[in-house]
Amino acid sequence: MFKGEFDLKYTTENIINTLTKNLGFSVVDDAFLGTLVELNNYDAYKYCVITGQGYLKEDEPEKRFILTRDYFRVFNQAMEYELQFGIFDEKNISLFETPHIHIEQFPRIIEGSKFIAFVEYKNNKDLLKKLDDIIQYIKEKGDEPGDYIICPVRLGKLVDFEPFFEYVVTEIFNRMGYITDNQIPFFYGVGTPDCAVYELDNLVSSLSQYTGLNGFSIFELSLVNTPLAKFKIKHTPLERINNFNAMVGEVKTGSVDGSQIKKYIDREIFDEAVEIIPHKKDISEYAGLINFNEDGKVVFNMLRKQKVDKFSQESYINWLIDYMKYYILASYTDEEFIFFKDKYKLNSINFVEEINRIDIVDLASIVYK
Amino acid sequence: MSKTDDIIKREISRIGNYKNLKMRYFVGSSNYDQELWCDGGLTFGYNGYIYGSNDFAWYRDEPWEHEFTGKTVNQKPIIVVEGTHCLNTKSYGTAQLQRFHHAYGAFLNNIISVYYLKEGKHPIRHDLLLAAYNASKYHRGLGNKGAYIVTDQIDELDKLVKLVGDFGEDSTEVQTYIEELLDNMKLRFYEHFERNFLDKGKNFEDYLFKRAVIKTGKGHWVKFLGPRKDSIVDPSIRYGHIVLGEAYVTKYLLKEIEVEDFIYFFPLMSKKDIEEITATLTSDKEWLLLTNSADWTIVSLDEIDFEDKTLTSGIIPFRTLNLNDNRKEWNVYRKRIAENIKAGKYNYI
Repeated sequence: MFKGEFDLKYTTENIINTLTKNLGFSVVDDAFLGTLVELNNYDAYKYCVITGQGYLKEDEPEKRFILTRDYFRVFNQAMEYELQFGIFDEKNISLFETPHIHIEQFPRIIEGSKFIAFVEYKNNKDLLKKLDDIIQYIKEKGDEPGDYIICPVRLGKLVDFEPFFEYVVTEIFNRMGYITDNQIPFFYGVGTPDCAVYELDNLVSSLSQYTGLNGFSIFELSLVNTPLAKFKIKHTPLERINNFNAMVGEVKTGSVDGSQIKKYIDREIFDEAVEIIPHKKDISEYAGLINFNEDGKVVFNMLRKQKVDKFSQESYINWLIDYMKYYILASYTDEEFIFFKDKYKLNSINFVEEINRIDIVDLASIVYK
Repeated sequence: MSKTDDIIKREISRIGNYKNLKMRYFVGSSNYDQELWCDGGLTFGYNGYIYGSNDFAWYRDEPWEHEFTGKTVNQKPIIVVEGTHCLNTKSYGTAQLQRFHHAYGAFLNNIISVYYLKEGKHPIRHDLLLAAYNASKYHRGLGNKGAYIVTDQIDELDKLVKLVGDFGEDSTEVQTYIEELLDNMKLRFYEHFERNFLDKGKNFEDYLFKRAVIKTGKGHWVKFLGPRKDSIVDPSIRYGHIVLGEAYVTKYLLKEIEVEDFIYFFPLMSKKDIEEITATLTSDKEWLLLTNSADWTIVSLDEIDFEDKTLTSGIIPFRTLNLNDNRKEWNVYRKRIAENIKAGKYNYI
């Protein structure tokens, strides 16, 4: 079980190193803003969605245009098909939250370059004041505030960084060619796993002729038809560290008792389970460990094989493939989606049934043509 | 960690700023909503206690004193919203009640407060509608300038914001609309009550009995089913929130028949359990509100002397047994508790 001190300090320097050393992002220095991490627009959007950090925007209540993974909700529970309010307004089967809609609301998503600026602060009032100062500085420079993504660094509040580490780890797995998801729908009363990783190489390969993706976060299927897609670059593939079909991950920046991840393991769907605890040194008996060394580099510690019920895992993967189809549809514009529904005579009664019936690669060939 | 209801905030945010009304809300992993309003958050205190945090607010740039802290800030909260999409999930039952005290805290501060449960497969609970209606009528009757609205229609919230922005919260237009919303809440309750009780020859006391609330042979009103210790102290269950919601809803249901206070009987807890929880949850908002209310009295099993001694000894094992696995046996004891309380076959110790 966990022992030991918290050695890894969540300083701004650590956070920057985590991004640069693991994901190869470059840095630039600014006299006022300090060290900035530079991203292309595609990676910036993906980073924002998974971390919940936002683009600087003066007229927003939090001075940021914030997107979260929760906006892209499809189903609430694994193995179930109750459409939820998120990507779709489930009442009338219309698109509610999609990348197209986000770009319409905030065109800067696809303009200019993007930089992550790290802002240390004490409390929310302090943060908002600093953001006002930053906005003023950027405007005086002749730049666009919307080109800056704000990573708030509140020292002593480690839990703020959990989505950040979710992003880093799942991005690494994407570059290994895996499919990942964050804040995944799971079973009622069991909880919401922070992330999951799936080895579905055949599917990735079949879809890649339409998506151009080798390993992706599921919500990226909604980006393929959007203006963001042209900014996507092929990152250097990373070598895989183990063989598995499905892995579940739980991110913690504080103390851990393992009770949560054990609930996920008990469903016997995942043949790997990892705790993602940047500062932890000792591996538990019940799950593997992903942590970070003092230079910010990720360390994959011994992974522990879990008991799997093959039928449960297979059923779950089949459901997952259905689930992914809705993200493909989310890459439509409103007009395209209405046309699609009319063409295939879809309505609120038959929508889910009919979409589930279509083969996912066939759907990709229709939507991504 | 899970993040829920960001999508509901997103839906509400599409109403936008309006006239001189500006939005305040937080998405993502921040806990800023848990700060008090005067510190930039969405939480309100009243009469010495802090209530649950809210999801959204519209405010105006003018001075406002938060009586709880005595601080004056230059943002006056005008409409405060607690939102959820639970009506389309499996958590559509008692979970609706667990957020009652969130918008309620804002309401006690004379603010128009809305508990928005996004329309889904399941309806809003009828007791929630009546409780919020009665809370509004009771406190507005005492001079409260706010209201406690419960709705599943985003259009109603949108219209409320627009009317307030156009005419002001004290205007005839807004007050008329608030009364319309409140009447609608009561109507929805009565449609259920008429269909399921009056038409079957039953009355409001029968309705309350279904809510585990009875009038005893000694003239007390008792909600006779409280929680177990483990469900209160386990943070993943959040049962304390539900129990608190049950208490408030009971309080305001009883206003329908002009009952001012009641006993909340915790048969599955001892006095020692309650003391131990109190010593542990020293800053737990919900436990503090639950155990310090002037409107109900919490009574544990060892504070009641049932005439039927086998009843007390029979209840004790259920403190630790799995209630789902022993549902049949537990239901027998629930029935006996209700019968003995109703017949007045008990004494306080």
